[in-house]
Amino acid sequence: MRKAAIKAIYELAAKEERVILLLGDVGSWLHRRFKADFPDRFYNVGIAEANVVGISAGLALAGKLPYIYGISTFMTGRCFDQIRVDLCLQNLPVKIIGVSCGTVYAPFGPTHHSIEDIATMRSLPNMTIFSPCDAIETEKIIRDTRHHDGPVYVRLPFEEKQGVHEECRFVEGVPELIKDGIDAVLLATGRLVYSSLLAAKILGEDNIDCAVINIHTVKPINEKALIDMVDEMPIFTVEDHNIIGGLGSAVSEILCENGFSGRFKRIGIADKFSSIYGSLDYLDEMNGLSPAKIAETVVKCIAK
Amino acid sequence: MEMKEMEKESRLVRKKALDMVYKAKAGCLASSLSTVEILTVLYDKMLTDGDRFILSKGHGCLALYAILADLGQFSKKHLDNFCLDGALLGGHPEITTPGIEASTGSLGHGLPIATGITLANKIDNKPNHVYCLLGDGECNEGSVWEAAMFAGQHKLNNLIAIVDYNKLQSSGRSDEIINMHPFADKWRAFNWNAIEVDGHDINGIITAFHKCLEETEKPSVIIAHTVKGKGVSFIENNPEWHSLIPTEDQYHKALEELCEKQL
Repeated sequence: MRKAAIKAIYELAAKEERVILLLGDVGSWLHRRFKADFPDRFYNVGIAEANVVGISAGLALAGKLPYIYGISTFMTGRCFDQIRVDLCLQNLPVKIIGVSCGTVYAPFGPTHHSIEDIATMRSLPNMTIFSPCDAIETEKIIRDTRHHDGPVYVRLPFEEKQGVHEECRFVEGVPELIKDGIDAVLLATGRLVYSSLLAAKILGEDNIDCAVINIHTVKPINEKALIDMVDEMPIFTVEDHNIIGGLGSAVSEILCENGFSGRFKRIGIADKFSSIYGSLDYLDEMNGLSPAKIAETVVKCIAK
Repeated sequence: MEMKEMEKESRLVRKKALDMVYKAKAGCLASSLSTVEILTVLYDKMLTDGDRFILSKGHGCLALYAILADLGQFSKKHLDNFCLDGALLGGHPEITTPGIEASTGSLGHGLPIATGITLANKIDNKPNHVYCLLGDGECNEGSVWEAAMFAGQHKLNNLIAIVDYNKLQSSGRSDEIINMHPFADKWRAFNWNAIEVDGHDINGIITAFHKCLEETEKPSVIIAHTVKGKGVSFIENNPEWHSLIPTEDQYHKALEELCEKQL
């Protein structure tokens, strides 16, 4: 997905002279083709996230289309005020591509985990948030950001474990039904869409027919589309993010305000830092985000 | 404008700033009074088509508002409505207001934004200049130095910062909070051309700006030594006046000092 993003940004720049790429000293090697082919539109601003965003705002004010590429947690956390004031208050067309979201930096420890980014970015007026589930979707989303007049945050892991789509059906804001089902529904985002499909397969072996819906646009979610897709069956949100403030919170807001009275549970990081090291599979197991653990949570909840 | 006219304009701008704060019972008067000559010179002598000015010390916006109204960016009646219900003009400037180039007020944002605009101009081979007025307390913010380092690295010689070096910030004397001395040396260390000037000497300010225009390799900073609250004796250099509103008595005394005519 990271490679897809890099490819999409390059292709955007090839078509649109206003595209400027800014790095926070991350990804320079990955963007080497961009740097070689568009040297006057490539800037490594250094380890200075506030400045990256401020400079991007200035570029946008001067008519450019800046794309920022950086590590999710740093590029949303360290420069939150700059994103809030320079980008969102002024509603400027700056795109932040945040890689290694969630707990993807599993071996590096919690300083590098990004489990608050949806919560913080969601609270900002004028911000649009995308969380693609595979490379095909990533490429489409980033291509489409060219037409966004305001700020955008795209949340990416490194690479997909496996593609979810053969063909992209992305429609901004509209949740995408990946697998139908009648006993429960998993509303998942990002890399956990694929994990949810595997969880649904496990549940199927227990005769639980579980639907899987891809929430690729975390803000704004098309409320009517979401309500039309779910009924009173148990709903589970699945995210590599704190259960506070992320996808689960966004969905619960919509469900509550639309009178949903069924069972609802947020599956995600249980408001704790993952102060453990290891592989991502290991962390998922510990955090209840592996396919088996997701399925287990669904079974326990339905059984109550 | 000739010198005498600029001096008269400066007095009128100070009077308008005083009027605005007194009527609204809001606003940072002292922080605005130290910016007057800098802004008068900028808008009368320096800014040309395509140039931009960012007021990074957004709380010191009163003088800027008065000057923009004089230039016809918006009706002068908006000065009378400053901070009142539904007002166009408030305590910190918004980009949606005519003549305001960036929403500032959260300190440390203006210089990075100005750097980005200057960078865009360089990419497009535009000769325009970008000016940015910062406060000295504002230079406590790390983001100021992030921008300074970047601008120096990329030789953005069309970027001209001005620091309103009035030696006070909201809690007191700047040298007792974070002592920035030797201030000019700090900028020079990041590859800036630094010029020091009396921030209320109109001729000195004009000369300083012109020296900046001659610079071809480095961004420039004018360190303008100013007096916070300049123009009103009991406000000048008085740390208490960062956000004080004049009483009726103080308002009239201030008016007397600034000009003959009262409200």
